Amino acid sequence: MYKIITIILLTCCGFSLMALQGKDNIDKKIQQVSKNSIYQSTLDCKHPLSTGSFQYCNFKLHKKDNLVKNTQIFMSGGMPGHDHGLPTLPQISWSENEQIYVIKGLKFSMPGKWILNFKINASEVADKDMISMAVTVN
Amino acid sequence: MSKSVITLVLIIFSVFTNAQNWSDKEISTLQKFSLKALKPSVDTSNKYHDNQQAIAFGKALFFDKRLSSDGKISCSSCHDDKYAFTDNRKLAFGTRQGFRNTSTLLNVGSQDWFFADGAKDSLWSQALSSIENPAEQNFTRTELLHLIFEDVNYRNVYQRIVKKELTKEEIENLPEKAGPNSSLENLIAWKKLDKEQRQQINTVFTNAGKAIAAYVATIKSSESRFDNFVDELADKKTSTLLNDSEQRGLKLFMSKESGCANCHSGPLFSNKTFHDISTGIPGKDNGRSEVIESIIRDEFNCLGKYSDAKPEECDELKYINRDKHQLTGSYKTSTLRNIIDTAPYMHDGRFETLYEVINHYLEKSQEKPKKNDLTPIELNKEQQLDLVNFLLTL
Repeated sequence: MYKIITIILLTCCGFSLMALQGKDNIDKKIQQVSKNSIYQSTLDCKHPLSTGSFQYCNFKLHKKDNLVKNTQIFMSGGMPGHDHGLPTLPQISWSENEQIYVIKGLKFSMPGKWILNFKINASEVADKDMISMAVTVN
Repeated sequence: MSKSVITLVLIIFSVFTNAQNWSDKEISTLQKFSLKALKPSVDTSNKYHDNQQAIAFGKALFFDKRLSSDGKISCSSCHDDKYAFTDNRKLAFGTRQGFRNTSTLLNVGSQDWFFADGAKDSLWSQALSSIENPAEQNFTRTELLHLIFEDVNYRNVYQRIVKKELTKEEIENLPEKAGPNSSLENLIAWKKLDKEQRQQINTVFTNAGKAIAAYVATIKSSESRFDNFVDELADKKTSTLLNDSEQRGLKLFMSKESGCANCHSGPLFSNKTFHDISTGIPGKDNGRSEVIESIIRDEFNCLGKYSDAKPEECDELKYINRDKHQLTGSYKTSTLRNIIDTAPYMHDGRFETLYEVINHYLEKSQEKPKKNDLTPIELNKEQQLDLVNFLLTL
């Protein structure tokens, strides 16, 4: 009898802990190497990525540990699970003052997995590359 | 002994069962959907947004049937407070039948885009569009200007709000009817005006629209049974303010299984953006993709000369999605609040009941090849009933 009670109590505790824990799977800073391994990139956002409001993020690009400055980058993205793109058309540009690429106009409409694509349109053909970054939005 | 132990076990079990039903994380998520989480509406493009005189003036204009070509239609003719500021018609009927279902105005001040396709980026430019639309109020810009000037009460309150006098000299030479979105005759009359005159008319026209918008932004829904449930849940971790079926429906609504809360999120139960759920009619009604260019060129948009916003306050417009291919067949996610009073549903009022709406999602989400933003949804009859019961608590 006591064995059964113990099992029931342990089961209840287990369920309760599972319910209370709740994994906060949110992204704020993500690093990613480019498709042809030319660049290392870091997306750094002020707050964990969330839906509904504009996100304040910047982007760093390195090539063999050297900061890549003022190159042309095109940004796009979408939600593969739902087959739709970003709700806005974000712009990424080099900030001389901050020595970083600033992203403006980035917004997410739904929670879940999104892909952000950064097309590095460097002047040298050999330096052109693509970065695809998977991010989780809460 | 065994009786008291069993009772104790049952009590503990019941407590833990409740904890699992609505965990702290779930309650915290539900609070984000509560009306209490709705931030006060802000419209930097409208300097009269919080002006009490403008709100009163806007309210008078909202209910004034003289703002129509036949003197029978006002904003309130379609946005009737008896029906949660809709008209309960399949399609709006102003001076003639339109092609869209009338959206509720409840909490509309908190939206980013207006009309089902988001053709306008402010509440005031939306109001002006309806005043001019030949199927809605069919009123011209100069008619509105003459009306405000000739009605002494309107003229006085207008002058107090804008702190500028409307003079007879400004008005007397203007044609009775002239506007760019009207009949050919009225368009010709509009084109004959010089640039300065058109700007002067537009200024009065937009100020009237801003007053209407200031009033409309005050139209808000009261707390629903869902909001009261969330309050009690946050306080006591349990609540019976929603019955079992409604709570199951809420759980289902928030789940990945239904996917409802992906888009119907936040206190408006809308993510305020545009999705393709296969309600567009290719070649006839393509939704958002058809209005992108006109929004960008609109003289009454956030970046236009009649807007009071600084350019940096127009991010929604500056970073507008221009991908017409992606936006084809997309419409704004409807708010689900007060849904019991806002039938029929969808941008063209095609569904009379919520069961028809759910059936649409079940059917279209299974389509292969995939043609919309939906992921597969499967709900049995009991789940559908629970979902509808929950929606009616909003």
